Amino acid sequence: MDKTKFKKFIRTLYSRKIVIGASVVVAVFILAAILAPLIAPYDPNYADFAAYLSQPSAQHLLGTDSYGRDVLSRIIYGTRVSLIIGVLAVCISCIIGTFFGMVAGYFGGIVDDVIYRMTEAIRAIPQVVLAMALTAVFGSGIRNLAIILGISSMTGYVRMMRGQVLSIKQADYIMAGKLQGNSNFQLMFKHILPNSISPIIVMMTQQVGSTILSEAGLSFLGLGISAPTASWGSMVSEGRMFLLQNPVFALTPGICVAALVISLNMLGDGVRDALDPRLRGEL
Amino acid sequence: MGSYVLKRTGQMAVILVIISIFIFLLVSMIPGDPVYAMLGEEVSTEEYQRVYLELGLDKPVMVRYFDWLVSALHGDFGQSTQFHKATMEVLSERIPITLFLSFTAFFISIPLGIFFGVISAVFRGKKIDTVVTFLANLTACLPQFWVGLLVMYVFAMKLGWLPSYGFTWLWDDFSTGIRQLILPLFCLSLTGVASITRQTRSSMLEVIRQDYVRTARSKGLKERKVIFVHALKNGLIPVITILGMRLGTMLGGSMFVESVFSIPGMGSLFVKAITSRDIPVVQACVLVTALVACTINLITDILYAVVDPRIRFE
Repeated sequence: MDKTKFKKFIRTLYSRKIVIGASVVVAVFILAAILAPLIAPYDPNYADFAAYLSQPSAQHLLGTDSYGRDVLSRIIYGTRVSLIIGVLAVCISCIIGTFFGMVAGYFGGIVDDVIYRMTEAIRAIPQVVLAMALTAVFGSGIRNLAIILGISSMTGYVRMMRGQVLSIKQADYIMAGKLQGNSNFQLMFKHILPNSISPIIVMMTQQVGSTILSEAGLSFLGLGISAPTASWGSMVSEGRMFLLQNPVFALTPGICVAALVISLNMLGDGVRDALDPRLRGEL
Repeated sequence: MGSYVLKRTGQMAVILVIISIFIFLLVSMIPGDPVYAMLGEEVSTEEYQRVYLELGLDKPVMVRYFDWLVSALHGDFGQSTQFHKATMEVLSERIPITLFLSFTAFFISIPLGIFFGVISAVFRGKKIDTVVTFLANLTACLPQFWVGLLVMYVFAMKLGWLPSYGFTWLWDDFSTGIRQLILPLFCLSLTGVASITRQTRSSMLEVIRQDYVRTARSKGLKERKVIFVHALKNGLIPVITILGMRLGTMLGGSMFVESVFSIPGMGSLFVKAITSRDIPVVQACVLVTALVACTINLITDILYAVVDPRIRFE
């Protein structure tokens, strides 16, 4: 994308107030994740048993959990987990999915059949169930979760990229490139891939939110990030036991998940509308 | 039509075979020794031998797969390592509960979603459309487990109107059963309603612009008839395609809802099986889910071809 095009993209993107608002929220979360050690009032794992399940107060703005740990600090540190897994998983699924989709669409025939059937099979298993089954095998933790969520959501890229390639393959410039003696892989990576970059970006921006949602879900079920690392999903899960005594503890991490995911989705919609004028105004 | 159904069923069979291979390979994908992974390091030698042979780890992988598939088709998934009972015995009471929850939520969300979608399309740009669209976008971003805890806190704990946990079959105790179902079903249907609303809205907007709808209006039909008879008929076609995937999402969502409301369904068992690496139960749960999801996909595909004959000839 050259400079003027990029400027135009940014201008279209930020011409809508709601996109600006969403970007601000996302930026706040990203800053919180980066600056966590500086802005968190307490060590997220420091247990002060004297302050067991205390209500929100001046010392602990969001109260403390059942180990006397500061909820606000844990939420701030939890932002890191959500964002890291969200971004990593999206990169993984994008790279694998785009590659397989491109290969399937480009070569066609038996290669396409095999890849496409596999994709359909993965798609037929509900995503949560697939991710859960994979955690049974590979275990959890940040790295494994990113891989698992990446694999279980790559089918979208395969389908999208396959469709892209099928339509681009017919273009004259691909034929010209072939006649120049370019190899298949040169054609795929130098000519087809750059021409499908906008749908890929659109899909990536829209997927970050849903991945963060899945991560929170798995952690809530106890299959994701395990104690004592703070993650929003597992905080809700710890807090549910004390819902009646201290609802703030269980419910605020969920509000953070929702706020981040909503903003990411709005930003994603904004990016889609700015990159692809055909889709604009549909919603 | 017959050949279309046959073709689709064949494709589904292929997909199910691939899925079964994947599920079977779950055992082999475990890093390290699968027996130790399933039973823990301090297993006795006899127990180790028994499970080793039961998994058929002494045989080549192809033989193992076919052995496993044949027993799986007979409903035998082996011994559950945490309950020391046959897997199907553990699952047989739980599967119907999960299916009941998912299907009920599925059938609740279809009419509601279509209703809200039509309303917001008809009143495009008006206040009601803004509200409906906003709510639909919002609910799609809320973590399901969190919504569950929220309604549980408000309606069960604070107001005390409804029980906060449990499950009773309606024919055992109707009033208790219904009261226990309201919150889980609300939670489970919410995302379904949201996504069907969005799909209905966009496809209705597409249809309302078309010439035949204008013709229907200009020949003096009542607006209600134009929308609900003429426009909706075509507007619903794209909605059918997302219904198939919806049920799969409901089955997945049921995992969370069962966990939040302590419902003894397949989902809560699945979670327990994963944390204790009870692979036979994991395999059975994934297979059952995939089977149900595939069947519903097949049915919606056929339904799609029934309402839109163009599909059959593609």
